[in-house]
Amino acid sequence: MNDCMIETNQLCKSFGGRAALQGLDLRVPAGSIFGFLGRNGAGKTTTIKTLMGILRCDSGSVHVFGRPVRDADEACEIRRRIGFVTEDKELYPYMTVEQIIRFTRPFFPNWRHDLEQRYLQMFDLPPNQKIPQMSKGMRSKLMLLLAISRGAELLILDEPTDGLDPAATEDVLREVAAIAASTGTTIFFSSHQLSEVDRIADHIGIIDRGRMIATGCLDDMKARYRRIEVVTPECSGLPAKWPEGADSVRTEGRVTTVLASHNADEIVLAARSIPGASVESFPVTLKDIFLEEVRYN
Amino acid sequence: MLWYKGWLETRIRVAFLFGFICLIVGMQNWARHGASGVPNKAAVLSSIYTLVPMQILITAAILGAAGIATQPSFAASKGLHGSTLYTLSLPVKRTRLVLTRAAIGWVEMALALTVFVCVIWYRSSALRMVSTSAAWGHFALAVLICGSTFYFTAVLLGSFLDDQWRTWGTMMLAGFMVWASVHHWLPAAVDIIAAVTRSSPLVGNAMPWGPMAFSVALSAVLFAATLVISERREY
Repeated sequence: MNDCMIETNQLCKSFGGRAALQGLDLRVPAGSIFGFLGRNGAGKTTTIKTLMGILRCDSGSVHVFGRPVRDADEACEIRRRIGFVTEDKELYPYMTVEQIIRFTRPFFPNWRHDLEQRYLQMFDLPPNQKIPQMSKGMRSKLMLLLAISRGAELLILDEPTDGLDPAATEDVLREVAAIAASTGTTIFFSSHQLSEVDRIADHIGIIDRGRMIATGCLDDMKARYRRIEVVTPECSGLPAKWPEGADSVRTEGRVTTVLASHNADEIVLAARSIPGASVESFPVTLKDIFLEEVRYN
Repeated sequence: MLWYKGWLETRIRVAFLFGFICLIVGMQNWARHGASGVPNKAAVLSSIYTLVPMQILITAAILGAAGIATQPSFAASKGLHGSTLYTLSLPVKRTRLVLTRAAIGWVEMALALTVFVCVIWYRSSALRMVSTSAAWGHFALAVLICGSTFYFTAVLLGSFLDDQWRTWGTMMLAGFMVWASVHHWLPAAVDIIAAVTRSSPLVGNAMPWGPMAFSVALSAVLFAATLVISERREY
Protein backbone atom coordinates (compact mmCIF):
# COMPACT_ATOMS: atom_id res chain seq x y z
CA MET A 1 0.00 0.00 0.00
CA ASN A 2 2.76 2.44 0.96
CA ASP A 3 4.42 2.62 -2.43
CA CYS A 4 1.08 3.18 -4.13
CA MET A 5 -0.37 6.66 -4.24
CA ILE A 6 -3.67 5.35 -5.52
CA GLU A 7 -5.08 1.88 -5.05
CA THR A 8 -8.53 0.65 -5.97
CA ASN A 9 -9.84 -2.87 -5.53
CA GLN A 10 -12.85 -4.24 -7.39
CA LEU A 11 -14.31 -0.77 -7.72
CA CYS A 12 -17.90 -0.75 -8.99
CA LYS A 13 -20.15 2.17 -9.80
CA SER A 14 -23.47 2.27 -11.66
CA PHE A 15 -25.70 5.10 -12.80
CA GLY A 16 -29.33 4.12 -13.04
CA GLY A 17 -28.54 0.50 -13.77
CA ARG A 18 -25.78 1.31 -16.28
CA ALA A 19 -22.45 0.07 -15.00
CA ALA A 20 -19.71 2.68 -15.34
CA LEU A 21 -17.06 0.81 -13.35
CA GLN A 22 -17.08 -2.97 -13.11
CA GLY A 23 -14.46 -4.16 -10.67
CA LEU A 24 -11.72 -1.69 -11.48
CA ASP A 25 -8.31 -2.52 -10.04
CA LEU A 26 -5.89 0.36 -10.25
CA ARG A 27 -2.43 0.86 -8.75
CA VAL A 28 -0.55 4.10 -9.25
CA PRO A 29 3.02 3.95 -7.95
CA ALA A 30 4.32 6.90 -5.95
CA GLY A 31 6.39 9.30 -8.04
CA SER A 32 5.11 7.99 -11.35
CA ILE A 33 3.54 9.80 -14.26
CA PHE A 34 0.57 7.56 -14.88
CA GLY A 35 -1.34 7.87 -18.16
CA PHE A 36 -4.93 6.71 -17.82
CA LEU A 37 -6.26 5.73 -21.23
CA GLY A 38 -9.63 4.69 -22.48
CA ARG A 39 -12.25 5.33 -25.11
CA ASN A 40 -15.09 7.81 -24.57
CA GLY A 41 -17.39 6.48 -21.87
CA ALA A 42 -14.86 3.89 -20.70
CA GLY A 43 -15.08 5.16 -17.11
CA LYS A 44 -12.10 7.52 -16.84
CA THR A 45 -13.94 10.52 -15.42
CA THR A 46 -16.04 8.34 -13.12
CA THR A 47 -12.82 6.84 -11.76
CA ILE A 48 -11.32 10.28 -11.21
CA LYS A 49 -14.44 11.57 -9.47
CA THR A 50 -14.40 8.51 -7.22
CA LEU A 51 -10.72 9.06 -6.38
CA MET A 52 -11.54 12.65 -5.41
CA GLY A 53 -14.41 11.52 -3.17
CA ILE A 54 -16.91 13.38 -5.37
CA LEU A 55 -18.71 10.15 -6.28
CA ARG A 56 -19.28 7.26 -3.91
CA CYS A 57 -18.55 3.78 -5.18
CA ASP A 58 -21.24 1.08 -4.96
CA SER A 59 -18.73 -1.55 -3.87
CA GLY A 60 -15.00 -2.12 -3.70
CA SER A 61 -12.41 0.08 -2.05
CA VAL A 62 -10.46 3.22 -2.93
CA HIS A 63 -7.35 4.34 -1.09
CA VAL A 64 -5.38 7.46 -1.89
CA PHE A 65 -2.15 8.06 0.09
CA GLY A 66 -3.15 4.82 1.85
CA ARG A 67 -6.27 6.49 3.30
CA PRO A 68 -9.81 5.38 2.53
CA VAL A 69 -11.73 7.83 0.35
CA ARG A 70 -15.08 6.51 1.52
CA ASP A 71 -14.67 8.27 4.87
CA ALA A 72 -15.74 11.94 4.55
CA ASP A 73 -13.07 13.26 6.93
CA GLU A 74 -10.35 11.27 5.22
CA ALA A 75 -11.60 12.39 1.79
CA CYS A 76 -11.27 15.99 2.91
CA GLU A 77 -7.67 15.43 4.02
CA ILE A 78 -6.92 13.60 0.79
CA ARG A 79 -8.25 16.51 -1.30
CA ARG A 80 -5.99 18.87 0.65
CA ARG A 81 -3.01 16.97 -0.82
CA ILE A 82 -4.31 16.74 -4.39
CA GLY A 83 -4.16 19.18 -7.28
CA PHE A 84 -7.05 18.64 -9.68
CA VAL A 85 -7.83 19.74 -13.23
CA THR A 86 -11.39 18.98 -14.30
CA GLU A 87 -12.34 17.67 -17.70
CA ASP A 88 -14.37 20.69 -18.80
CA LYS A 89 -12.01 23.33 -17.35
CA GLU A 90 -14.93 25.32 -15.98
CA LEU A 91 -14.30 27.80 -13.18
CA TYR A 92 -16.59 30.30 -11.46
CA PRO A 93 -17.94 32.64 -14.12
CA TYR A 94 -18.20 35.58 -11.71
CA MET A 95 -14.53 35.61 -10.72
CA THR A 96 -11.38 37.04 -12.22
CA VAL A 97 -8.03 35.23 -12.35
CA GLU A 98 -6.84 37.11 -9.28
CA GLN A 99 -10.07 36.41 -7.38
CA ILE A 100 -10.03 32.67 -7.96
CA ILE A 101 -6.40 32.48 -6.86
CA ARG A 102 -7.24 34.49 -3.74
CA PHE A 103 -10.23 32.21 -3.11
CA THR A 104 -8.34 28.93 -3.58
CA ARG A 105 -5.10 29.77 -1.75
CA PRO A 106 -6.32 29.58 1.91
CA PHE A 107 -7.63 26.01 1.53
CA PHE A 108 -4.12 24.69 0.93
CA PRO A 109 -1.53 25.17 3.66
CA ASN A 110 1.31 24.18 1.32
CA TRP A 111 0.35 26.77 -1.29
CA ARG A 112 3.38 27.69 -3.42
CA HIS A 113 3.46 31.44 -4.01
CA ASP A 114 6.60 31.05 -6.09
CA LEU A 115 4.88 28.63 -8.47
CA GLU A 116 1.77 30.82 -8.57
CA GLN A 117 3.82 33.83 -9.71
CA ARG A 118 5.92 31.75 -12.07
CA TYR A 119 2.94 30.25 -13.90
CA LEU A 120 1.05 33.54 -13.96
CA GLN A 121 3.94 34.93 -15.96
CA MET A 122 4.70 31.83 -17.97
CA PHE A 123 1.09 31.30 -19.03
CA ASP A 124 0.58 35.03 -19.52
CA LEU A 125 -2.61 35.12 -17.45
CA PRO A 126 -3.90 38.66 -16.83
CA PRO A 127 -4.95 38.84 -13.14
CA ASN A 128 -7.93 41.10 -13.79
CA GLN A 129 -9.42 39.09 -16.63
CA LYS A 130 -12.88 37.60 -16.00
CA ILE A 131 -12.96 33.84 -16.44
CA PRO A 132 -15.80 33.75 -19.02
CA GLN A 133 -13.73 36.05 -21.24
CA MET A 134 -10.90 33.53 -21.36
CA SER A 135 -10.43 30.91 -24.07
CA LYS A 136 -10.56 27.24 -23.14
CA GLY A 137 -6.80 27.09 -23.51
CA MET A 138 -6.32 29.93 -21.05
CA ARG A 139 -8.77 28.33 -18.63
CA SER A 140 -6.80 25.08 -18.90
CA LYS A 141 -3.63 26.95 -18.03
CA LEU A 142 -5.35 28.70 -15.12
CA MET A 143 -6.62 25.37 -13.79
CA LEU A 144 -3.15 23.93 -14.10
CA LEU A 145 -1.75 26.91 -12.18
CA LEU A 146 -4.36 26.40 -9.45
CA ALA A 147 -3.60 22.68 -9.28
CA ILE A 148 0.19 23.00 -9.24
CA SER A 149 0.30 25.90 -6.79
CA ARG A 150 -1.53 23.82 -4.19
CA GLY A 151 1.81 22.21 -3.37
CA ALA A 152 0.12 18.88 -3.96
CA GLU A 153 1.73 15.47 -3.61
CA LEU A 154 -0.56 14.12 -6.30
CA LEU A 155 -1.85 15.86 -9.43
CA ILE A 156 -5.00 14.41 -10.98
CA LEU A 157 -5.47 15.83 -14.45
CA ASP A 158 -8.55 14.92 -16.45
CA GLU A 159 -7.77 15.53 -20.12
CA PRO A 160 -5.37 18.38 -19.29
CA THR A 161 -4.64 19.29 -22.90
CA ASP A 162 -8.16 18.93 -24.27
CA GLY A 163 -8.98 21.96 -26.42
CA LEU A 164 -5.46 23.34 -26.40
CA ASP A 165 -3.60 24.39 -29.51
CA PRO A 166 -0.34 22.56 -30.25
CA ALA A 167 1.83 25.28 -28.71
CA ALA A 168 -0.21 25.37 -25.50
CA THR A 169 -0.25 21.57 -25.38
CA GLU A 170 3.50 21.60 -25.62
CA ASP A 171 3.77 24.11 -22.76
CA VAL A 172 1.46 22.10 -20.53
CA LEU A 173 3.15 18.75 -21.19
CA ARG A 174 6.57 20.23 -20.62
CA GLU A 175 5.48 21.72 -17.32
CA VAL A 176 3.79 18.52 -16.13
CA ALA A 177 6.94 16.54 -16.84
CA ALA A 178 9.09 19.23 -15.19
CA ILE A 179 6.98 19.21 -12.03
CA ALA A 180 7.22 15.45 -11.74
CA ALA A 181 10.97 15.57 -12.27
CA SER A 182 11.70 18.46 -9.91
CA THR A 183 9.30 17.76 -7.02
CA GLY A 184 8.64 14.05 -7.20
CA THR A 185 4.91 14.76 -7.44
CA THR A 186 2.89 11.79 -8.64
CA ILE A 187 0.87 12.64 -11.73
CA PHE A 188 -2.24 10.76 -12.75
CA PHE A 189 -3.68 12.02 -15.99
CA SER A 190 -6.31 10.81 -18.39
CA SER A 191 -6.06 11.51 -22.07
CA HIS A 192 -7.25 10.52 -25.49
CA GLN A 193 -4.02 11.71 -27.00
CA LEU A 194 -1.85 8.62 -27.13
CA SER A 195 1.16 10.52 -28.42
CA GLU A 196 1.08 12.75 -25.32
CA VAL A 197 0.89 9.79 -23.00
CA ASP A 198 3.67 8.06 -24.89
CA ARG A 199 5.82 11.15 -24.49
CA ILE A 200 5.57 11.80 -20.77
CA ALA A 201 4.06 8.78 -18.99
CA ASP A 202 6.20 6.12 -17.38
CA HIS A 203 3.21 3.99 -16.35
CA ILE A 204 -0.09 3.48 -18.09
CA GLY A 205 -3.46 1.93 -17.41
CA ILE A 206 -6.00 1.15 -20.11
CA ILE A 207 -9.61 1.10 -19.03
CA ASP A 208 -12.44 -0.29 -21.12
CA ARG A 209 -16.08 -0.67 -20.09
CA GLY A 210 -15.18 0.05 -16.49
CA ARG A 211 -12.42 -2.56 -16.23
CA MET A 212 -8.66 -2.22 -16.26
CA ILE A 213 -7.58 -4.26 -19.25
CA ALA A 214 -3.87 -3.48 -19.23
CA THR A 215 -1.61 -1.72 -16.80
CA GLY A 216 2.04 -1.47 -15.97
CA CYS A 217 5.32 0.25 -16.67
CA LEU A 218 5.20 1.64 -20.21
CA ASP A 219 8.74 0.57 -21.08
CA ASP A 220 8.07 -2.97 -19.83
CA MET A 221 4.89 -3.12 -21.85
CA LYS A 222 6.63 -1.89 -24.95
CA ALA A 223 9.36 -4.49 -24.43
CA ARG A 224 6.80 -7.23 -23.91
CA TYR A 225 4.61 -6.37 -26.87
CA ARG A 226 5.94 -7.17 -30.32
CA ARG A 227 4.59 -6.98 -33.82
CA ILE A 228 5.69 -10.06 -35.74
CA GLU A 229 5.48 -10.08 -39.52
CA VAL A 230 5.51 -13.42 -41.26
CA VAL A 231 5.86 -13.58 -45.04
CA THR A 232 5.05 -17.02 -46.42
CA PRO A 233 5.55 -18.34 -49.99
CA GLU A 234 1.84 -19.10 -50.20
CA CYS A 235 -1.24 -18.41 -48.12
CA SER A 236 -1.19 -21.80 -46.47
CA GLY A 237 1.01 -23.40 -43.83
CA LEU A 238 0.11 -21.04 -41.02
CA PRO A 239 -0.40 -22.68 -37.63
CA ALA A 240 -4.03 -23.42 -36.78
CA LYS A 241 -3.35 -22.15 -33.30
CA TRP A 242 -0.63 -19.69 -32.41
CA PRO A 243 1.11 -19.91 -29.03
CA GLU A 244 -0.39 -18.03 -26.11
CA GLY A 245 0.20 -14.27 -26.29
CA ALA A 246 -0.73 -13.87 -29.93
CA ASP A 247 -3.56 -11.44 -29.34
CA SER A 248 -4.33 -10.64 -32.94
CA VAL A 249 -3.47 -12.33 -36.19
CA ARG A 250 -4.18 -10.62 -39.51
CA THR A 251 -3.39 -12.08 -42.90
CA GLU A 252 -3.27 -10.01 -46.09
CA GLY A 253 -2.05 -11.94 -49.07
CA ARG A 254 1.21 -13.59 -48.14
CA VAL A 255 1.84 -11.34 -45.17
CA THR A 256 0.58 -12.33 -41.72
CA THR A 257 0.91 -9.84 -38.87
CA VAL A 258 0.79 -11.13 -35.32
CA LEU A 259 0.55 -8.75 -32.36
CA ALA A 260 1.95 -10.43 -29.27
CA SER A 261 1.15 -9.09 -25.82
CA HIS A 262 3.69 -11.51 -24.31
CA ASN A 263 5.54 -14.69 -25.16
CA ALA A 264 6.91 -13.10 -28.36
CA ASP A 265 9.93 -15.41 -28.56
CA GLU A 266 7.79 -18.52 -28.69
CA ILE A 267 5.56 -16.97 -31.33
CA VAL A 268 8.61 -16.12 -33.44
CA LEU A 269 9.79 -19.72 -33.11
CA ALA A 270 6.39 -20.98 -34.19
CA ALA A 271 6.49 -18.66 -37.21
CA ARG A 272 9.97 -19.79 -38.16
CA SER A 273 8.79 -23.39 -38.20
CA ILE A 274 6.58 -22.52 -41.21
CA PRO A 275 8.43 -23.84 -44.30
CA GLY A 276 9.94 -21.00 -46.35
CA ALA A 277 8.65 -18.26 -44.09
CA SER A 278 10.56 -15.09 -43.44
CA VAL A 279 9.92 -13.71 -39.95
CA GLU A 280 10.65 -10.29 -38.51
CA SER A 281 9.85 -8.92 -35.07
CA PHE A 282 9.25 -5.16 -34.51
CA PRO A 283 8.73 -3.00 -31.44
CA VAL A 284 5.26 -1.52 -31.07
CA THR A 285 3.92 1.94 -30.29
CA LEU A 286 1.57 2.83 -27.47
CA LYS A 287 -1.12 3.28 -30.09
CA ASP A 288 -0.66 -0.36 -31.22
CA ILE A 289 -0.94 -1.54 -27.63
CA PHE A 290 -3.99 0.58 -26.91
CA LEU A 291 -5.87 -0.41 -30.05
CA GLU A 292 -5.02 -4.04 -29.58
CA GLU A 293 -6.07 -4.16 -25.94
CA VAL A 294 -9.31 -2.32 -26.60
CA ARG A 295 -10.16 -4.53 -29.59
CA TYR A 296 -9.05 -7.76 -27.97
CA ASN A 297 -11.10 -7.17 -24.83
CA MET B 1 -13.07 32.08 1.84
CA LEU B 2 -16.36 30.38 1.12
CA TRP B 3 -17.95 33.62 2.35
CA TYR B 4 -15.97 35.48 -0.29
CA LYS B 5 -17.17 33.12 -3.02
CA GLY B 6 -20.77 33.36 -1.78
CA TRP B 7 -20.65 37.14 -1.80
CA LEU B 8 -19.21 37.26 -5.33
CA GLU B 9 -21.91 34.84 -6.44
CA THR B 10 -24.84 36.77 -4.96
CA ARG B 11 -23.82 40.42 -5.00
CA ILE B 12 -25.66 41.17 -8.25
CA ARG B 13 -28.78 39.54 -6.84
CA VAL B 14 -28.48 41.67 -3.72
CA ALA B 15 -28.03 44.77 -5.89
CA PHE B 16 -31.17 43.80 -7.82
CA LEU B 17 -33.13 43.51 -4.58
CA PHE B 18 -32.03 46.98 -3.48
CA GLY B 19 -33.03 48.27 -6.90
CA PHE B 20 -36.42 46.67 -6.40
CA ILE B 21 -36.75 48.36 -3.00
CA CYS B 22 -35.99 51.72 -4.65
CA LEU B 23 -38.68 51.00 -7.22
CA ILE B 24 -41.24 50.26 -4.52
CA VAL B 25 -40.29 53.41 -2.62
CA GLY B 26 -40.67 55.41 -5.83
CA MET B 27 -44.13 53.98 -6.42
CA GLN B 28 -45.05 54.66 -2.80
CA ASN B 29 -44.07 58.31 -3.24
CA TRP B 30 -46.19 58.54 -6.35
CA ALA B 31 -49.18 57.01 -4.53
CA ARG B 32 -48.70 59.37 -1.59
CA HIS B 33 -48.75 62.43 -3.81
CA GLY B 34 -52.08 61.30 -5.18
CA ALA B 35 -53.60 60.86 -1.72
CA SER B 36 -54.84 63.56 0.65
CA GLY B 37 -56.39 63.93 4.10
CA VAL B 38 -56.06 61.77 7.21
CA PRO B 39 -54.71 58.29 6.46
CA ASN B 40 -57.06 55.37 6.79
CA LYS B 41 -55.38 52.71 8.97
CA ALA B 42 -57.06 49.80 7.19
CA ALA B 43 -56.01 51.13 3.79
CA VAL B 44 -52.42 51.74 4.90
CA LEU B 45 -52.08 48.30 6.46
CA SER B 46 -53.71 46.71 3.45
CA SER B 47 -51.00 48.12 1.20
CA ILE B 48 -48.36 46.88 3.66
CA TYR B 49 -49.94 43.41 3.64
CA THR B 50 -49.65 43.32 -0.13
CA LEU B 51 -46.13 44.68 -0.33
CA VAL B 52 -44.45 42.75 2.45
CA PRO B 53 -45.30 39.13 1.50
CA MET B 54 -44.39 39.98 -2.10
CA GLN B 55 -41.02 41.36 -1.00
CA ILE B 56 -40.40 38.32 1.24
CA LEU B 57 -41.15 35.97 -1.62
CA ILE B 58 -38.98 37.80 -4.15
CA THR B 59 -36.10 38.04 -1.70
CA ALA B 60 -36.33 34.37 -0.72
CA ALA B 61 -36.66 33.14 -4.30
CA ILE B 62 -33.71 35.21 -5.50
CA LEU B 63 -31.32 34.56 -2.63
CA GLY B 64 -32.27 31.00 -1.68
CA ALA B 65 -29.71 28.88 -3.50
CA ALA B 66 -28.21 25.46 -3.73
CA GLY B 67 -25.01 25.80 -1.79
CA ILE B 68 -22.86 23.43 -3.79
CA ALA B 69 -23.99 24.03 -7.35
CA THR B 70 -22.53 27.15 -8.92
CA GLN B 71 -25.02 29.89 -9.64
CA PRO B 72 -24.56 32.45 -12.38
CA SER B 73 -24.65 36.07 -11.26
CA PHE B 74 -28.28 36.51 -12.02
CA ALA B 75 -29.85 34.49 -14.82
CA ALA B 76 -31.58 31.23 -13.93
CA SER B 77 -29.32 28.32 -14.76
CA LYS B 78 -30.12 24.93 -16.17
CA GLY B 79 -28.06 21.88 -15.27
CA LEU B 80 -24.93 21.88 -13.17
CA HIS B 81 -22.21 24.33 -14.06
CA GLY B 82 -18.90 22.57 -14.59
CA SER B 83 -17.28 24.61 -11.85
CA THR B 84 -19.36 22.68 -9.30
CA LEU B 85 -16.65 20.01 -9.64
CA TYR B 86 -14.05 22.59 -8.73
CA THR B 87 -15.98 23.38 -5.56
CA LEU B 88 -16.21 19.69 -4.72
CA SER B 89 -12.48 19.23 -5.29
CA LEU B 90 -11.72 21.62 -2.41
CA PRO B 91 -10.81 20.11 0.96
CA VAL B 92 -14.15 21.10 2.48
CA LYS B 93 -17.05 18.92 3.59
CA ARG B 94 -20.33 19.32 1.75
CA THR B 95 -22.07 20.25 4.99
CA ARG B 96 -19.81 23.25 5.39
CA LEU B 97 -20.31 24.28 1.76
CA VAL B 98 -24.08 24.25 2.14
CA LEU B 99 -24.04 25.79 5.59
CA THR B 100 -21.87 28.70 4.52
CA ARG B 101 -23.83 29.38 1.36
CA ALA B 102 -27.18 29.22 3.15
CA ALA B 103 -25.90 31.48 5.92
CA ILE B 104 -24.69 34.08 3.43
CA GLY B 105 -28.04 34.06 1.66
CA TRP B 106 -29.93 34.31 4.94
CA VAL B 107 -27.84 37.26 6.14
CA GLU B 108 -28.38 38.97 2.79
CA MET B 109 -32.11 38.27 3.03
CA ALA B 110 -32.19 39.67 6.57
CA LEU B 111 -30.34 42.76 5.38
CA ALA B 112 -32.62 43.27 2.38
CA LEU B 113 -35.81 42.80 4.42
CA THR B 114 -34.52 45.05 7.23
CA VAL B 115 -33.65 47.79 4.76
CA PHE B 116 -37.03 47.30 3.11
CA VAL B 117 -39.07 47.70 6.30
CA CYS B 118 -36.90 50.61 7.49
CA VAL B 119 -37.28 52.45 4.19
CA ILE B 120 -41.03 51.95 4.21
CA TRP B 121 -41.22 53.23 7.79
CA TYR B 122 -39.13 56.33 7.17
CA ARG B 123 -40.70 57.17 3.82
CA SER B 124 -44.33 56.66 4.81
CA SER B 125 -45.75 59.34 7.09
CA ALA B 126 -49.15 57.67 6.83
CA LEU B 127 -47.69 54.47 8.29
CA ARG B 128 -46.06 56.36 11.15
CA MET B 129 -49.42 57.95 11.95
CA VAL B 130 -51.27 54.63 12.21
CA SER B 131 -48.56 52.59 13.97
CA THR B 132 -45.80 52.87 16.56
CA SER B 133 -42.11 52.26 16.01
CA ALA B 134 -42.20 49.42 18.57
CA ALA B 135 -45.03 47.67 16.71
CA TRP B 136 -43.18 48.19 13.43
CA GLY B 137 -40.01 46.71 14.95
CA HIS B 138 -41.95 43.67 16.10
CA PHE B 139 -43.46 43.43 12.66
CA ALA B 140 -39.99 43.52 11.07
CA LEU B 141 -38.87 40.65 13.31
CA ALA B 142 -41.95 38.61 12.39
CA VAL B 143 -41.27 39.29 8.69
CA LEU B 144 -37.71 38.06 9.01
CA ILE B 145 -38.58 34.92 10.96
CA CYS B 146 -41.60 33.99 8.82
CA GLY B 147 -39.71 34.84 5.63
CA SER B 148 -37.09 32.25 6.59
CA THR B 149 -39.54 29.47 5.74
CA PHE B 150 -39.67 30.62 2.13
CA TYR B 151 -35.93 31.14 2.04
CA PHE B 152 -35.19 27.63 3.28
CA THR B 153 -37.81 26.23 0.91
CA ALA B 154 -35.87 27.81 -1.94
CA VAL B 155 -32.60 26.47 -0.50
CA LEU B 156 -34.06 22.96 -0.29
CA LEU B 157 -35.46 23.04 -3.83
CA GLY B 158 -32.14 24.43 -5.05
CA SER B 159 -30.33 21.38 -3.73
CA PHE B 160 -31.91 19.19 -6.40
CA LEU B 161 -33.65 21.47 -8.93
CA ASP B 162 -32.36 23.91 -11.52
CA ASP B 163 -32.67 27.60 -10.68
CA GLN B 164 -35.77 28.14 -12.78
CA TRP B 165 -37.66 25.29 -11.14
CA ARG B 166 -36.44 26.35 -7.71
CA THR B 167 -37.97 29.78 -8.26
CA TRP B 168 -41.24 28.40 -9.57
CA GLY B 169 -41.40 25.84 -6.79
CA THR B 170 -40.92 28.49 -4.11
CA MET B 171 -43.58 30.68 -5.69
CA MET B 172 -46.05 27.82 -5.94
CA LEU B 173 -45.56 26.95 -2.28
CA ALA B 174 -45.94 30.60 -1.30
CA GLY B 175 -49.05 30.91 -3.47
CA PHE B 176 -50.55 27.86 -1.80
CA MET B 177 -49.79 29.25 1.65
CA VAL B 178 -51.34 32.63 0.82
CA TRP B 179 -54.42 30.89 -0.59
CA ALA B 180 -54.72 28.62 2.46
CA SER B 181 -54.28 31.60 4.77
CA VAL B 182 -56.88 33.73 2.97
CA HIS B 183 -59.37 30.86 3.17
CA HIS B 184 -58.52 30.27 6.85
CA TRP B 185 -57.49 26.70 6.13
CA LEU B 186 -54.48 26.84 8.35
CA PRO B 187 -54.61 26.78 12.17
CA ALA B 188 -53.55 30.15 13.59
CA ALA B 189 -50.46 28.61 15.19
CA VAL B 190 -48.97 27.65 11.83
CA ASP B 191 -50.32 30.44 9.62
CA ILE B 192 -47.10 32.29 8.84
CA ILE B 193 -48.81 34.44 6.20
CA ALA B 194 -51.34 35.72 8.74
CA ALA B 195 -48.42 36.46 11.07
CA VAL B 196 -47.19 39.13 8.65
CA THR B 197 -50.64 40.31 7.57
CA ARG B 198 -53.92 40.24 9.47
CA SER B 199 -52.47 38.82 12.74
CA SER B 200 -49.26 40.83 12.64
CA PRO B 201 -47.99 42.99 15.52
CA LEU B 202 -49.28 46.01 13.60
CA VAL B 203 -52.85 44.90 14.30
CA GLY B 204 -52.90 43.40 17.76
CA ASN B 205 -49.61 44.79 19.15
CA ALA B 206 -48.76 41.18 20.08
CA MET B 207 -46.00 39.05 18.63
CA PRO B 208 -47.28 36.06 16.63
CA TRP B 209 -45.12 33.66 18.62
CA GLY B 210 -46.90 30.51 17.46
CA PRO B 211 -46.37 31.00 13.70
CA MET B 212 -42.86 32.34 14.33
CA ALA B 213 -41.91 29.23 16.32
CA PHE B 214 -43.49 27.10 13.61
CA SER B 215 -41.49 28.96 10.96
CA VAL B 216 -38.22 28.40 12.85
CA ALA B 217 -39.00 24.69 13.27
CA LEU B 218 -40.04 24.29 9.63
CA SER B 219 -36.94 26.15 8.44
CA ALA B 220 -34.77 23.83 10.53
CA VAL B 221 -36.46 20.77 9.03
CA LEU B 222 -36.12 22.15 5.49
CA PHE B 223 -32.45 22.92 6.04
CA ALA B 224 -31.77 19.51 7.57
CA ALA B 225 -33.35 17.95 4.47
CA THR B 226 -31.12 20.16 2.30
CA LEU B 227 -28.02 18.91 4.12
CA VAL B 228 -29.07 15.28 3.69
CA ILE B 229 -29.78 15.73 -0.03
CA SER B 230 -26.54 17.63 -0.64
CA GLU B 231 -24.58 14.94 1.18
CA ARG B 232 -26.14 12.11 -0.81
CA ARG B 233 -26.46 13.72 -4.20
CA GLU B 234 -24.01 12.73 -6.91
CA TYR B 235 -22.63 15.59 -8.95
